[in-house]
Order: sequence, then C-alpha cells, then structure tokens
Amino acid sequence: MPASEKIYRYAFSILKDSETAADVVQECLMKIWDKRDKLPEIVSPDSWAMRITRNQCYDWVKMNRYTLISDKELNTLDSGNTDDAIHAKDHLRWLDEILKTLPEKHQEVFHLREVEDMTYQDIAEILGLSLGEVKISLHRTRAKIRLMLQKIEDYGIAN
Amino acid sequence: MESRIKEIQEKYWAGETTIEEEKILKNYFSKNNSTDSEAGYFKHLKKASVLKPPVEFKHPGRKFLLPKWMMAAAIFVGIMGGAYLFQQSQKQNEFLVDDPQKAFEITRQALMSISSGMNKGTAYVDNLQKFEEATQLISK
Repeated sequence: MPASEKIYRYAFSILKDSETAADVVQECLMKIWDKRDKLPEIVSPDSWAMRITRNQCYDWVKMNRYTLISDKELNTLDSGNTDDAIHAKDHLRWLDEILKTLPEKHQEVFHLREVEDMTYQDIAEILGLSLGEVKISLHRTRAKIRLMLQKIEDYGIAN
Repeated sequence: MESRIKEIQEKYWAGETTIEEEKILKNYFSKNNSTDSEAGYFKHLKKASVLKPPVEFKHPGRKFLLPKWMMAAAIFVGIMGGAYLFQQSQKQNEFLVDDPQKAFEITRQALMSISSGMNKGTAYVDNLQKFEEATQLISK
C-alpha cells in the first residue's frame, strides 16, 4: 500500500514518534477500509485519506494529552558519520526548531507541500484553510528558512 | 542546467514554483555533492519524502491466506482424515448389538476372557514368589 507511507509520514510529522504514528496509521487504514464504499464519490482520495489521518492524530493527541516528545526520531533520518550526514543533521535541527515556532497548521502546510508534494488546493481542503491562507503560510515559512540559510552561509551558525 | 536551477531556486523562495519545479530542485540537490546549506536543505526535503514506516502495515481487508500448495495439502489431509474416521465408525457399527440378551452374552464372554488372562498372570506371580523364596534361602 504505497499510500500508507505517505499517511505514515504525515502522522509522524504531527506526532513526532514513529511507534505512535505507526499505530495511528494502522487505525487510519482500518477507517479508510471501512469507508471504502464512499471512495467512488470522493474527488481526491489522497486529501480524504490525509484528512482522516489528521483527525485520527489529533484524537490521539487529545486522548493522550500529548506533548511533543523529542528530536530523536527526526535525527534518525540521517545516520552515518560522513561530513554530508553531519551537515544534513545540523540542517535538520535548525529546521525543526523553526517549524516548532510555527502554529500547528503552518507546520502541516509545510509538510504537505514540501515533503508530500501536494497541491495548494488539496492542502487547503485537508486543513480547512483558504487557498490564500495556504500560500501565505508557506511563503512565510520559506522566508524564515531562507533567512536562516543565509545566516548559516554568512556566519556558519544556525541560531 | 545550473542557471535553470538558480532560476527555479529564486522562484521557490518567491513562492512561485510548481510542484514539478520543486521536485526538480529536490532531485537535483539530492544527487549533488555540494555542502552548501541550501543544497543541504533540499537534500533533506528529498530524504524526508522517502521516509519509510518502521513496520509493514496490515491490509485491513486482506485475510490471512496460505500458499496454494499448503491449501491443497490441508484439503488432502482433511479428506484422508475424514475417510479414515468414517471407516473406523463403520467398523464400530459392525459390533453394534440391538438384542440385550446377545449383548449380555458378548460382555460375559469378554469378561471371562479377561478373567482367564488374570488367572494366568496370577499363576506367574506365584511362580515368581517361589523363585524369590528359593533365592532368599540360598543367599542365607
């Protein structure tokens, strides 16, 4: 199920914990399967599945009074001791710091566009935002990221 | 190519790129050896987009299925087992007796046979006892 990987990454971006995200995704797949009769009427199955995932994640957060755990999961994205990996790891840390300062919906806009390559329209539908709000959110996040990249280039620091 | 990439980069930061152009950037920098921080950023986005789940998810609608040869073997064993049990039950039916008098007679004969077997066994035990007594006498 290739869609499950996409769903997993989205759940992981919200929950920041791989095991929890995997559990939530398994529940989402059950829900999607139970509602499969509706599929022919659904225009964008991707957005529909992502919306179910989002609801499931926030239900989990509510039930478990979730607090963001740690960066350890994100750091597992890069392994190895090469300069390249260390460099990428640094990027990851500051990027994560920037994203953490953003409202949750803006973090999700960033993930859905930059990681999942979703259209503005689909993102707006998933998050219940207008097209303009999605574009502005992404533009502001990118501006913050660019500023940080310039700092890193000019001074070699990420903070 | 480089100038095209630079052009897309500018469009990206201005929020004017299409998904396809964004993919070009990510793919380009993921294969590029540049240690430039912007290259690292796009490289990271590419890596994040191929992040795999730690487990394989179960398909909610797919039941557990045995391989075909196992299913065939299971059916064969089932049929053979069924046939054997049927044969056994048929054999047992041969011994079924409806007449109580006849049943009593058969039971009596069976018990007699057991009893005679028991008597033979007791005789052997008696012999063993004699042997034991003789052994004890010798050992004294």
